[in-house]
Amino acid sequence: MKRGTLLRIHRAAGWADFRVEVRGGAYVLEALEEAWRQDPTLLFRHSCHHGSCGTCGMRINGRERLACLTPIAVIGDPGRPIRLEPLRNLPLIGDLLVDLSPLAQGIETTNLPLTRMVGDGDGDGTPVFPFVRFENCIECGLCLSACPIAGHDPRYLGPALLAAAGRIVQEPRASDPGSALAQVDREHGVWRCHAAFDCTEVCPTGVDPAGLILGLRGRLLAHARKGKAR
Amino acid sequence: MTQGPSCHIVVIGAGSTGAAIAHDLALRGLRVTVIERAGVASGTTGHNQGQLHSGARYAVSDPVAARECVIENRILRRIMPQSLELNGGLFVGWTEEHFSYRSNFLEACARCEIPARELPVPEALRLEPSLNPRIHTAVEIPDGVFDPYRICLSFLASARSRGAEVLTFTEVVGLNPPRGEVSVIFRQTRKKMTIGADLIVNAAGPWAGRVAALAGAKVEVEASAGVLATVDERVCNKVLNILCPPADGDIVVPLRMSSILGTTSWTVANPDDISIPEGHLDQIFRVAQGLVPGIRRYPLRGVMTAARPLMVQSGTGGRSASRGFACYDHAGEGVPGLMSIVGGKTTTARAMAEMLSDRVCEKLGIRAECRTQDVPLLPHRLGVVR
Repeated sequence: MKRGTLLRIHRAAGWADFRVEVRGGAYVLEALEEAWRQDPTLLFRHSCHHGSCGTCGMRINGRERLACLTPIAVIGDPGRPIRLEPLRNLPLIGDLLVDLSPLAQGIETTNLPLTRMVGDGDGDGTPVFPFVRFENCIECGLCLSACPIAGHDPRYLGPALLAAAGRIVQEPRASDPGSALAQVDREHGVWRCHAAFDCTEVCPTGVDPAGLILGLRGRLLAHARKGKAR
Repeated sequence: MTQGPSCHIVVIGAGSTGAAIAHDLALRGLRVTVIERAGVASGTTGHNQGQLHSGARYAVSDPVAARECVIENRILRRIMPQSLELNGGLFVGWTEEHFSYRSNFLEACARCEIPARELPVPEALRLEPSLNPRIHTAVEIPDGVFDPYRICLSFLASARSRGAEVLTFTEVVGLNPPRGEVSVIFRQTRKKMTIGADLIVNAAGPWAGRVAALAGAKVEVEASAGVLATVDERVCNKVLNILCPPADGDIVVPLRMSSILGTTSWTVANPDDISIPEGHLDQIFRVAQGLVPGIRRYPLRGVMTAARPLMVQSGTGGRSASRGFACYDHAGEGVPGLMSIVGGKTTTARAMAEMLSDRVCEKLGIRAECRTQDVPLLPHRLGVVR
């Protein structure tokens, strides 16, 4: 059964309305693809459709979300349009399309590997053999867009990069946790965060950037205390 | 020595095939421009179950594709070990039908040189506690998991480091291969431009027929759609397969903190407009429940569908069609300057690129060996393009 949905999309020329028909149970991304079939000039990014690639981040009714994981039935008020806007704090290319390359390059400076080792005692279940899986962070930029500090301090390293450094300190693998700590120990690094927790709230994969940032601060303070005691 | 740098190849499509071709040609010293109408991996590759095939799934029905998979599986472990979840895979059976397939399967794996080892059932259940406790057979094979989008980015990062250019959100609107002209429109600015090429490579997957038609050439490719569903729980660490001939919904792939179930298979006319048929989601869950009885307990995370670009062979289609690949030189039909590649899988993208790039070099009289088997790929983050 198809259902009518109204999308109100923020474009260069202002808001544009698209009336689309989608299946019951559809996600916002499916409605957006339907809008694209009506108007092929519409710009947006998508790839995996299940919250793994991290390319379809946008603001949906004012909040950062992945369009592929947001069911219309949950976000939409019957009779009211669903508002779609591009992510903030990243260069806007057009419509819902932002340039994610500055974010990717920033995270790359931490050298965070794509995979993590998981062994006994991780999470609630206890795996019986150590296994490898991808890091939680899908580098989607939702945290950066939601961060109130990133909005007015362009020099701020931002929650995604800081969370990546935090993961290296948690699980160094081949990387040097000392250099990760040194990288973030500065005014526009971990000390700039105001602990608003918007990053943690919008993260679609449970990375908890705010928690990792506070953890990094704790490590740095502990190091400083040790230094003084000596 | 190569005369490569003087030659410019335009590759159409930034899925796994196009990205791997860009890497291969750039590594041989050619100048490459990749043109993609949307973002990287926005088509078939992106909507992918992420199974790094050991080849076991095709060992009985399609031994050629099975051999290609196991060879490429080893190569990808070498060139992108950091981009894979390497926890192996299992083929498990619990019915009489599964049991009767068992010896056939093991023999076929041996013939294709796919390492397959029977595990005692208690051992399999200890490794994967969410598995159906009634299984009678478990065979371990070297499956793995990849992140399809990031595989493409790694190929493109490596290509770009050797001078390749990647133009996303750029649509091909005209092709004149004999004159080496590719007309594109930049979707953001609506500006048109003509790009010159010594050779044009059509790697547009299920859209390959449409791209070839712009040049008056013909590519036969079957767009075989499939539905995949993702649940919000990592129910296993190994890829779980049902010990039976390839069928709907018979694989569960763990990826990051979720699991991808799938898939189904039906032929579609337009890969841009695939609606999910009634009943497919139910079917996927019904079959996956045999593998992992508790699967319905977990919240649905996402649903996706895309079209596989299957090679067309007479008398086959859908499930029974070969997962192999082929490339075509359209000079034979009076359109010199255009080559197309269809079929294959993301697991075999590197091999597809090798075959096509060999043909390109031969055609242009360039002597350059393929080196993609040994050169490690760059980190995916360096491949993120605007």
